[in-house]
Amino acid sequence: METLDALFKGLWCALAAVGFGVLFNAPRKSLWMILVVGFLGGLTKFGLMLPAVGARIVFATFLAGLVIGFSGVFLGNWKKIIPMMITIPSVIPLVPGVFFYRSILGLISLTQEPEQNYTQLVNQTIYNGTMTVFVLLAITLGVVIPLILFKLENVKSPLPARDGLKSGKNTF
Amino acid sequence: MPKPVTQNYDLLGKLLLEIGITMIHAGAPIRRVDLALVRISNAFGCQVHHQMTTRDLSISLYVDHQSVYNGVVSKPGLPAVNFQLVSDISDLGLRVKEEKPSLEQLESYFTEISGEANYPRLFILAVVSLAGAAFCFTFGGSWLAMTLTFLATFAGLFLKQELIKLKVNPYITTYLSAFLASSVVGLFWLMGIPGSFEQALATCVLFLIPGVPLVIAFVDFFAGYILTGIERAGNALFHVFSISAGLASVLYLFKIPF
Repeated sequence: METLDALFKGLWCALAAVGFGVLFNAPRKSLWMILVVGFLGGLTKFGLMLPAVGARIVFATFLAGLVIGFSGVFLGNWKKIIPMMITIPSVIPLVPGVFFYRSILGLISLTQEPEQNYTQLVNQTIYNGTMTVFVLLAITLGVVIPLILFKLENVKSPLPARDGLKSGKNTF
Repeated sequence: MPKPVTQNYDLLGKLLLEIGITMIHAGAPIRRVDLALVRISNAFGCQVHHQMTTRDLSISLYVDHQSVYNGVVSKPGLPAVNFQLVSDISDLGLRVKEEKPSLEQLESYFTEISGEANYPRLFILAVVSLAGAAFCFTFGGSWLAMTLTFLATFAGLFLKQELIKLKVNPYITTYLSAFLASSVVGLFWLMGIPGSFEQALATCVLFLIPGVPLVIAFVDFFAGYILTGIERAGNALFHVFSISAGLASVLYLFKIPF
């Protein structure tokens, strides 16, 4: 049942990813790739967070980001689409929305007069804020690392070399 | 390097400036912009050297180490993500490299690239709202919360599109859109509809998340373009701040308990 739930969440992640692809005006031919990669990312994250596996959210999100990054680079190279156009919409469903929301709530609560539970409030706000930052970092690094490893910009053609300028020869 | 095939370096320089600044504004990483500029300038027998920020681009063209063109272009306003535009201009760079067209042909190819939306407005609104509802589900929201998120995202994105047309400041646009989206959920809460609104409130503003500038900032950092990376990360941070402010305003105004 839990596995089915992870699968179902993966499907919804795929749907959300396509929504962001449309929002960013991604080429039509890239939408099915965003759907597939978004599904793989969601499935990885929620699959790893199943009680049987027990991964924590930052680690699960980082691995999901890597899966999105590598599969996006693979599909992009195969179908001649800039990989970034597949990976960025696919990774957005992994953003830590609830942690972010709770951090905002916590910050608002901290403006109240300190009461007995103020220390607990501070702790919770710091926890939610830290989780927001770390999950965002995990997502970003997970996507960027494959792009850097595979030198995404050189996928279609190597970068032409530029000669160094000879000093005194330019006409500035 | 190929033998120079053009003498109209002024037109080539201006085209390169326009191509470069369009790519930067559409959300391309600096290295990809560099690649397009190098491909095109090399096809016309020139070397290009540039300096970029997210608003300005200056280039110098050289032929046999002699400067033949220096120019600067500035584009006010903040970037608007458009992947189709980035894709088309990248393809243009490849096409120029392979076909070696004339300068007039290059100008004509570039003019053909419009970057217009691939999808009708209503479709964008519906699909992005559905994405918001999907977000809500992945955060454990009920069907009611998902419906609220759909409506809130629809309203917020509609307002955002209208404000963009009116050329309102992008951060104020984000603030107002976040305010409206969370107000929709807040109104349902005020009406006393039973259910948990936490997931709906948390996810109704996520269509505003600056995912592209955030990821591209890191791509720029890793490629060594630290300054543009900082600019893009700063831009993303201010959008996040605007979203937070919009959400916080609603929580205060509607006195939603937290």
